[in-house]
Amino acid sequence: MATVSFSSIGKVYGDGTRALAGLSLDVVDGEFMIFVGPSGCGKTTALRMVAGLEDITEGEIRIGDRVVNGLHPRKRDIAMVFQNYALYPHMTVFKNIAFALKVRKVPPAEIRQRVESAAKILGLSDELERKPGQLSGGQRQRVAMGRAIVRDPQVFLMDEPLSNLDAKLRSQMRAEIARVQREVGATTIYVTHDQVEAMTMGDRVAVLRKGELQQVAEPQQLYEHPANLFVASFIGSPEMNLVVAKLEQTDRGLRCQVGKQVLEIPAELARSRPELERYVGRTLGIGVRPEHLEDAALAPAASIGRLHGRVVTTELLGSELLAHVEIEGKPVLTDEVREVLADVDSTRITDLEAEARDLRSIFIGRFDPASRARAGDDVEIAVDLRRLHFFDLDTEAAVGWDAQ
Amino acid sequence: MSTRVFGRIVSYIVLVLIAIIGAAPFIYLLILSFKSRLDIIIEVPPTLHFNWATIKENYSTVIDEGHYLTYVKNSIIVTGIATTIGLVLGVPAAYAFSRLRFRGSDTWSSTILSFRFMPPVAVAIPIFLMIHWVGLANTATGLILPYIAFTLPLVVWIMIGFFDEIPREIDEAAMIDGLTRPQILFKVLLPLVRPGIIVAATFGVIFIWNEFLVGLYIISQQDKETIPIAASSLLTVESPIEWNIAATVGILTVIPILLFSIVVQRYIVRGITAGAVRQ
Amino acid sequence: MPDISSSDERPEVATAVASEPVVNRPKRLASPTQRRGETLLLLGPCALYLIVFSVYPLVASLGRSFMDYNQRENTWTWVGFRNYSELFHSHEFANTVQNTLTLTFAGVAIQVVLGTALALFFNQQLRGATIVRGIIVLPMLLTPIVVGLMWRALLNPEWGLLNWVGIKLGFGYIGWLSDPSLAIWTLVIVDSWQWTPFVFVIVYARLQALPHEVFEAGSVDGANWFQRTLYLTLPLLMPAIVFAAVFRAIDAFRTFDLVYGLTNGGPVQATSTLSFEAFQNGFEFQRYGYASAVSYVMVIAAAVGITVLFKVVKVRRVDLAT
Repeated sequence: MATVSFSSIGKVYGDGTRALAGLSLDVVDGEFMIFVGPSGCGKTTALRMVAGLEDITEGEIRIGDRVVNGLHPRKRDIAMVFQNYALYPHMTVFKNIAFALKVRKVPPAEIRQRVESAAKILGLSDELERKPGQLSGGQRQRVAMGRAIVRDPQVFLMDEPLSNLDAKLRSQMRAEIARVQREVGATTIYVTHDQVEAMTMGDRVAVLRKGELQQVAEPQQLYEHPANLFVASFIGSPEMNLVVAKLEQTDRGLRCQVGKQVLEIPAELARSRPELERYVGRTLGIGVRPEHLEDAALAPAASIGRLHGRVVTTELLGSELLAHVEIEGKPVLTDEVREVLADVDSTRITDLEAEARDLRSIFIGRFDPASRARAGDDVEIAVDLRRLHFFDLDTEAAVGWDAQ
Repeated sequence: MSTRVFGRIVSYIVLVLIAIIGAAPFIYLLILSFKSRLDIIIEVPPTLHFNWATIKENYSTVIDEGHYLTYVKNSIIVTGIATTIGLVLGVPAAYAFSRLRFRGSDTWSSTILSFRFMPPVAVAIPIFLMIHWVGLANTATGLILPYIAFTLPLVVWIMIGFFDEIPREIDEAAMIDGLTRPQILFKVLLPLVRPGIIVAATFGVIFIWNEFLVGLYIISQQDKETIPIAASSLLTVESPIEWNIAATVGILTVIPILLFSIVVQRYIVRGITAGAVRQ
Repeated sequence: MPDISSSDERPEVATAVASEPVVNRPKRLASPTQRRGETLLLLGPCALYLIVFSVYPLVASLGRSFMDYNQRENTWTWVGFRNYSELFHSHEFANTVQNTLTLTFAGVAIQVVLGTALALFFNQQLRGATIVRGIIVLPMLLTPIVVGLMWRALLNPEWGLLNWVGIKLGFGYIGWLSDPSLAIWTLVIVDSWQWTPFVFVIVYARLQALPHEVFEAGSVDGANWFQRTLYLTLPLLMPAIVFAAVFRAIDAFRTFDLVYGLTNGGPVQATSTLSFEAFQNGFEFQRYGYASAVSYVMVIAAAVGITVLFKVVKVRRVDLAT
């Protein structure tokens, strides 16, 4: 068991492309740390640098108190689960799991015992004599994990181990992996591009973008206090609703003007964000998550703002109604927001640009399924004003963001 | 760190050694072809001082007196025609084996492929007798006919592999459009397997160009000989030879094929590995 | 890649043939007769050609092996198994067989080991490696008689470069081509010079195609280079190595050109291979019947080898179970 620390880690490739810059963070002993971000953000590069599969261009990585720059992977006492599992195709499951022990000249009896107990934890006891080619995707994934846990290494590294599985298997395995990690108690760094995995599995989550660390915090922190527009948009599904608003000071307090409508900012919220004062008279971005919107016809009255709009489309999911409501107001279209959308589907960007030109924003709300809102209806949305987020449109940072 | 550097130095030394071992025999022969008969015996090891006159003399002896150009012409004609016809016959057959399943298709294809491994000696005599009987001895045709048979298994083998790599759906789409199989082959698939055809042609050319066992039987008239056949009489181990001339003959024999290979180099590698990598 | 069922026998696009009885009848877009016609057209010429120029000669050869040819009178007489029995009792034949087997097995063994070693060697980043790889491929393309000439020159006892080097290094004179017991090994060496690249190309291509994460996993698991090579690389390369070995063995078995060009079977038949013996008996001694018999022994042996190859290698519809 050990800590892993990144000190100003940077990576530049031979042709000059930069994959990582100034990454500094500490993974605590026994922690399940998740690196998350869109493709190309550098998360896999960072992981491979810990493994020793990529050279470190700048900075230092320590495992425990050892600086491991330049150390060959086999000397680092780490285990890794690869995205494509990288099982040894010509060896049986048993031999796959046993390989690392065999290479260290562990006595056969002990090998057998350790492999069998690892297999038991993962439910692979019946597959030990089969070869990877004969296994299903989920089984192969578990063999890859078995290979890692049988070693009792200082650190576990996982590179998107679930991305090759179908949705149902994925949610099953999420729980499995989390369970195994708790049982084994190993320091783990886990890379994924799926924010659901990040939120459900990690003790802490590090959000990366274009090689830079955006924020590292517990999942709930990321959700409630995102450091910038990127983290705010990336975490949470459907994405946070963002719109440009003008901040005004009245005798009753602060309020923001969205198009022709107004949302009062609750006093407590204003108190907890003293920096908001600087934005009085200026525009900023405000955000509110879909789960904090409700059909006004069904919502209780306290701390609620109102926005009028027209329903564009609805999706009835049984447990909720996703309402896409068009509101008069300018959407937030910064680089960070664009990047999050691009990762999902680049046509969303053109839609958003069209909306920006027309000065209309689409807000998605998670309504109670009893809502009567339907496409074409005029509707009033209840906004939980305590849950407003504020963003500087130039720096893209959250207003009042204190580095934690 | 220094073990790494040491390792790299050793690697580069080995690399150079490999290059030397690979090229030395050829370079040596080349040098010999630039020397006079006397120099070869005296200069040990041969120096790199070359006398242009000697070189010219060696090469003109072979080219002019030795009718080298006639042999080149014969080789080119025979190789070109045999390879072409080999492709014409073999490509459709490979297509059929790749796409059509019929009773015993596997046996048939295996049989055809196995001819690739038959010792030429086994068929040399009957072929020789056959060619003689129809009066085609000492003709280009007499060589071309058996050579086609020798290239066919090679062509079929290579082309089956390339056809297999093209998804069946393309054929099926064409069939729905109303084309017959031969039409599909010629109009749709041929452009797609062009690299394969080049690979097959390359190997066909190399094989036929270097062939001389069967050729020896069939051609006895000097002016009809291909390069290897002509060279073989000059280079026999038995008769004492003028080494400078022999070296020149050797070089001139292989130069065409070397030039050809440089042009088609990547196809050569592709052809050899076509069988093994797909496993 | 999945093995897409290749047969035309599967139900295709359901062309609406409403009147067809609902039976498991495969619907083809071409009638069976038309298909047979197409097959014939595509395969026919090739098959016909091979029957005339490959099958017939093979059969004729078998026939001739039971006959004796009289050159003066240009006649053929039936002699039954006499040629074969002469074969099997002949010292020369036994010697020839031994030479052929040496060339085949020892030669291929050397080529496989060296070829694989070369492939492993080239599996690192070296500047100029591409050029050297290009150079290595060339020996395979050279006309074998010229290869023989090259090496005869190199090994020439009076002025050959190699002997000079050997003397300089203190080895003294070595009768590479003149010593009967050494000559066969010289042949093996030259053959290996020419054909090791063949094994190299095949194994190297396979090596490049191996998934590199498997080796990363090996490193992470703690294996050093030697362990990775022994436990991972070599086993994964085995199919290619075996393929190259069997392929080469069949080819080495038939070697003729190189023998003709390097030693002409000598000294004193010390390097005569089966092909060479058949050729000599046929072309030089005009003993066509006997030559056919020798050839036919080769054909049988080759047939065995080919069967082995086809079992080892799924020639088509390859089994992608890796």
